[in-house]
Amino acid sequence: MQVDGSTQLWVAARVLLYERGDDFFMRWDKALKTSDPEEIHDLRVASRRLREGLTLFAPCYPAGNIARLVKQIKLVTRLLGEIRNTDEAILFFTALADELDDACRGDLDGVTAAFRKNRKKELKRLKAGLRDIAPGSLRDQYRRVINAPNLFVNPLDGADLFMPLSRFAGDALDERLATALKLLPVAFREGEAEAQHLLRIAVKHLRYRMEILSFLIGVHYEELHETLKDYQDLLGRMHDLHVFAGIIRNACLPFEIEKVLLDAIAVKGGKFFADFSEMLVSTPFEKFAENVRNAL
Amino acid sequence: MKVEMKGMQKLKGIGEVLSRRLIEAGHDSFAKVAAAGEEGLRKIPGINPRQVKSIVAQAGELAEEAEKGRAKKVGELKQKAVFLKGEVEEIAHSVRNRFQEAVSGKAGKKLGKELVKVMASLEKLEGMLERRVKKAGKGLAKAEKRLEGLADSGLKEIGTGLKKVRKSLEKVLAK
Repeated sequence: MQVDGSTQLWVAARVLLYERGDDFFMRWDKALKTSDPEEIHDLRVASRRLREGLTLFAPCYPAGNIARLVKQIKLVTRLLGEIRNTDEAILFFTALADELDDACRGDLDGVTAAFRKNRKKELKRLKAGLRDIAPGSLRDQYRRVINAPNLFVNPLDGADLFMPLSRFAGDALDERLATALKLLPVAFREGEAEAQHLLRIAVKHLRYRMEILSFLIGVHYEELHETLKDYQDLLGRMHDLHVFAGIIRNACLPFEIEKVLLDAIAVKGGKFFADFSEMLVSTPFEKFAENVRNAL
Repeated sequence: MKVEMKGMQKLKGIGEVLSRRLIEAGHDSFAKVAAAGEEGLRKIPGINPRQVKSIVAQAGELAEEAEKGRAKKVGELKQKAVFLKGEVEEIAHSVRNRFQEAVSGKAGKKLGKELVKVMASLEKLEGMLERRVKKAGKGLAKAEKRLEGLADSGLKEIGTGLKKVRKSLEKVLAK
């Protein structure tokens, strides 16, 4: 089914949510079959994108129905999160061990080995968890909900479901852009890890929203998406370093080893922040926001 | 078989007997005759070897024509499906504007479900147009007729009308 900017909101919401749902459940089947780290990551991203889709089109549906669905899908995201974090930690600490001298290597190998051992248990738990949620019944519930929009609700009590998608999309993207822009001034300061983390989440939500509405953005979509992805990647790497530093602090390593490792992580963090600052100058986020608004 | 045989007889050099033999050999469309080539056709008992080349060429042309005709028809049907979806949107809009009070409760939910079902059937049909051209054409024509003037009808008539529209579309979707 073709959806464009002139399609009425109630029709477009259903079609676009169907697409998101199909993608999510297809990846679910695949991840259960293969247990491949990339498939698991893709399913986790699909679950996030689906949640963003449901949040985006929530005004079209009874609030309780959407909240219940989002809650269930969030369970899947969380289940997948643990193993994904483990995979990331294994990758990071293995690479770090190669960069540092032999004195640290033994301790770092111990940290990595503990994660590797845990991964098997987590995978088992993940598989059982995914089966417990029963994709079949969740899929049925999902379809039931998105096939029952609040079609004739008074526009004064909710969204006007007969407005063209383009108008709704403009406001929806604006909302996410505004959240990110508000966080920007604080996140620009080096020590503000919490603000940078919140900005990362805001950028992620904005990215998923843009992806769902990509066909409305036109020829500049790829370029804008790439910019946003660069921001998200960098903010993600900065956040990961904070997590990894926490792992080192809790690993009960000898003091001098812990210090070397934390220093190495801090050097990386400083470099990433310099890249982030440079990005804010070379591709200012305010300009990006303006370009998104103009592209619609 | 008779219909296919008649179709095959459009080829110069193919009569009743040869058309049956072609179909029995699995060459039951112009495209298949063209694909069989001269070598394949020479295996058909009773075929005039001097006409084989011309038969293959004719079959190729007719297959191409048929394909073009089919593609044109599919395009037309796709446009019709889009048009009908627009009609359904218009009906929904009209109901909201004319019967705001009446559709705020259960009746509205019921009608909303019916509207979504009709839309879903049209979407499904759009996806299978290329496989069921003839059936889809009939179904869409019937649906179009039933949707006509529905936007200005009363609430009850709209509900009944939409149900009928959905049923005519579901007939196409049924295996």
